[in-house]
Amino acid sequence: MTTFFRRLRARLKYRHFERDLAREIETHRAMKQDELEARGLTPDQARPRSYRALGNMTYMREEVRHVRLGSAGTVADHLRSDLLDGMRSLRRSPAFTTLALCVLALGIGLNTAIFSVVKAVFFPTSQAASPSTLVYISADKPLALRDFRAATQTAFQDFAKHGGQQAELVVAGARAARRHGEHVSASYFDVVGVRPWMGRGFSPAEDDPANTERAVVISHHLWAEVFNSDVTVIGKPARIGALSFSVIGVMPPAFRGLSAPWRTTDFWITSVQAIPTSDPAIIRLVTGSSHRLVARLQPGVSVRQAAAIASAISPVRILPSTDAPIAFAEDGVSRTILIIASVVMATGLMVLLIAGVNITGIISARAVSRQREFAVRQALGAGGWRIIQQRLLESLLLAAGGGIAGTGVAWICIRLYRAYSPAELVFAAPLDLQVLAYTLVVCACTGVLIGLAPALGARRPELLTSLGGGVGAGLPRRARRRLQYGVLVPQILLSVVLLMVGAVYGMTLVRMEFPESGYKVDGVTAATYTYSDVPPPGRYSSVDYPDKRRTFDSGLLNRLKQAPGVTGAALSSRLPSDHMGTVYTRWIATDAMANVPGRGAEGNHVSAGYFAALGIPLLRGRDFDRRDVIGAPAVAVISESLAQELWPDADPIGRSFVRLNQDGTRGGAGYAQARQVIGVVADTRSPLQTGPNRPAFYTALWQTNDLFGELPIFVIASGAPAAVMEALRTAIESDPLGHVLAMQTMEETIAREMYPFRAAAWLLGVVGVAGITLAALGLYGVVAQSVAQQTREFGIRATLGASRRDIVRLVLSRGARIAVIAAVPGGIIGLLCLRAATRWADLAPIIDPLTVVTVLGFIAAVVMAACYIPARRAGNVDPAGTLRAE
Amino acid sequence: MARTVPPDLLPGTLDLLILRVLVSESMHGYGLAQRLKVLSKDVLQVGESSLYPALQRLLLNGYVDAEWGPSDNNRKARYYTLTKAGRKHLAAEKAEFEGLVAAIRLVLENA
Repeated sequence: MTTFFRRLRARLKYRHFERDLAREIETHRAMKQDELEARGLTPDQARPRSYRALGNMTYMREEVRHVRLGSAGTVADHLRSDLLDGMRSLRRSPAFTTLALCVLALGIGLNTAIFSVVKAVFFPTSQAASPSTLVYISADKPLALRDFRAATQTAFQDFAKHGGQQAELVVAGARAARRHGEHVSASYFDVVGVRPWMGRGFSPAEDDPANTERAVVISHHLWAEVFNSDVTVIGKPARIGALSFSVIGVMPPAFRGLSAPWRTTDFWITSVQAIPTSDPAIIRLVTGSSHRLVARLQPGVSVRQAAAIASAISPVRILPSTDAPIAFAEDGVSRTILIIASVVMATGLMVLLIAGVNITGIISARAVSRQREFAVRQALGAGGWRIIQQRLLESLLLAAGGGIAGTGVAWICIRLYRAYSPAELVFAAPLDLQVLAYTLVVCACTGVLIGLAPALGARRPELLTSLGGGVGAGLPRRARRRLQYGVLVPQILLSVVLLMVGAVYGMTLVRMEFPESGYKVDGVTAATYTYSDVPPPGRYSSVDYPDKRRTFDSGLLNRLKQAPGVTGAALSSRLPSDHMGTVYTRWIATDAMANVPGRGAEGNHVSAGYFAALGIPLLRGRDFDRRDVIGAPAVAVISESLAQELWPDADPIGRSFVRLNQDGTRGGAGYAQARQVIGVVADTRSPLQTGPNRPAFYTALWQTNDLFGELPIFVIASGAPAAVMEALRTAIESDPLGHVLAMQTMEETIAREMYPFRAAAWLLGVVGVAGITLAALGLYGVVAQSVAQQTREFGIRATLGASRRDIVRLVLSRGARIAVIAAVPGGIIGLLCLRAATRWADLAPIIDPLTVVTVLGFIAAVVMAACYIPARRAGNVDPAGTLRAE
Repeated sequence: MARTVPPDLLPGTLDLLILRVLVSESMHGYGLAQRLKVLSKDVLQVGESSLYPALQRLLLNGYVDAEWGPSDNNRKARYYTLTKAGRKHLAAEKAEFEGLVAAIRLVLENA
């Protein structure tokens, strides 16, 4: 180690070794001369002899240099000198450096931002302590937790339930605000392993239905915002829905809850206290339910072992909590978001590719003028690899600079995204170490890519031509053309693909905003609400809750229908616009001989008047009415396409259908039982659905008890939104037990659902325009350069009688050739991408020829504009002047 | 007969000689060359193209230090001084060299 430091010290101390050496040699020579003079020679004789005595100076200097470079640290010395060289060369051409840095910063920045958001969605950092021992449990059937717990004690330490809810939270003196809260079991914070920051978490007392002291734990964010960071908050009251709770704890600032990453949970209450009807002993984990069961594994038990133990007791699935995409695949959003995210990621990388190719083009163009420099170096004995190394280092330097600036760009992009996205799609996308590591990798790849191609080209410069010719002499004509094409064609091609996909999607979305949905969007408002029955002490729920709820609901509908300005009102378990997270079940006609599985249909529980309120035409039969209650024959209204699927050539009215189970059996209890068709309605489409209509069926809300638990019911009313909203609030809250949870017009709902798609289309469009701008600049540069180099040719042509028009046309045709070579395959690839996308039922683009032609026309116009300016300059060449100049 | 070093000298010997000469006093390159010539009774004539690379090597290894100072007839010369590490290195190299010479002699005399 001391040796190392000694050498390092020496290296630093004698860093001016060339200068020192030169001086030292001069001293040496002078002393020799002194000696010779002392022997009696005249200074004139002594001087040349002293020089001769020195021998081969250059050889010696090389020897000394060799000692210096040949000893420890050769690589470091090369690197250092190359690095300095690179920086010097970049500093010498500030215009190029600035342009390249800007382009790279944009490309890398956009990529970093996209990656950080995608990462935050798909790989959220777990909020739980030691997430590797935390698992999610899901099941198709309600789970008797008490028995399950007893039987799986060897696998799980403890269980907790949690599920989301949007609710209005009212604190005295503060404005009521809609917040995302969770219903949990009292064990939740213990299982998750996060301790409150202030106060306490839930105790078993909060899981006791007899306990009338309701407790709420709030987020740090809510504490700061609604309670004004009140340190005496513990014990203060807060109203959620119809019930009053007192604050018992505040969670630490970093804890955002375990729901999807775009949701910050602001409060936690126990399910028992939130919905008096829920029984903590039974857990509904049916797919599609918003409730999830988490469990902490026993020490030393692996996820696989736990799954084996658990599935022996009950058919459940065990998912590691670290496997977030799977965990919230249950929410049904992941597939669509995955598609969007990959499209967006791919777009980002394409931008970087365009930016990279663009810079490669500039570097190559510079390489032509630096040819002489490289040739000289090579003549002096620099190895080919050494030159590549130097070029690479230069481009890596550029990429590093671009990366640093790009991180800033990414930060701004994330800011913009957070400012212009709907609240529930905004989530923390920090530029953490992983993101920065990604940026680093992107930078390195970009640096190598933009450096390697021109460097390989520069390795074998034709020494003689380069040394012999002037600055203007560059690569041979064919090589130059190959280079221009290699640089420009991919840029234009990628831009065409991006623009075309972006524009077609954009147009598709514009059309979807007012879709042929089959239902009314204008003037329809939907609200979710709770009806909270306070159970008698000692009971989980009042036995007659479903009856009371039905009474409340029909009262609610009556009050609404009588309210001024309301033209229609109904209840449903789902909005027609909502298709994400829908569970498709396969149904089959009871009279069908073979089990031919259909496409699966989405179900909805609705009240009478639903079709009328939403303007969905009833094609045959009747709507639900007072006859369709519990105990009466199970009935259903089906959509046209389901009717077509089940009974292609018969009248469906009066016929029955039943669920076709996975194992090939038919029917079952409750939802799966056979139902008789009483009516057929027209198909509806959700706003993003561009494929064929999806089969749907409707069951009578009054015929089920299942729903009156944890799933929200929508009350839909039509009429002028302001009046309807007022009427909805009054109708729901006229009963002291009813409370509004959330309210939104259909337009808002749809806009929210469309947001990711719209954002993606915007991104594609913006990026496509940016790409074509870069490509146009590149094309302009190339054409301008070739015009400058061929001034003489144009002069001769003009002398020989070519008109200005002829010359302009000549130059334009060269630009056009590049453009056509690039745009045609670009257009074909774009169309193929779109064709491939039409297979996705959810967001199939509508390819209309007008958009495609417009995009191609736009690109042609940009390309021609880029060529026209230099072409005009070529046309204005003064023949006499040019020839004289030569 | 005068010889130039290297190539005939054993590798590393020039370094050893330089270090040995520097034990008594600091010296500049020219002086070193002269001293070596005198001490070896004109047998060893160290050319500049070996001397300066060797000095550079010694500098980089930290065995000598260099400092600019005035020479006897008032020229600015670079004086080399032995460092502590250099002294140690000299002792080690000297021992090794003597061992080697003894071994060679043994072979030459007893073969």
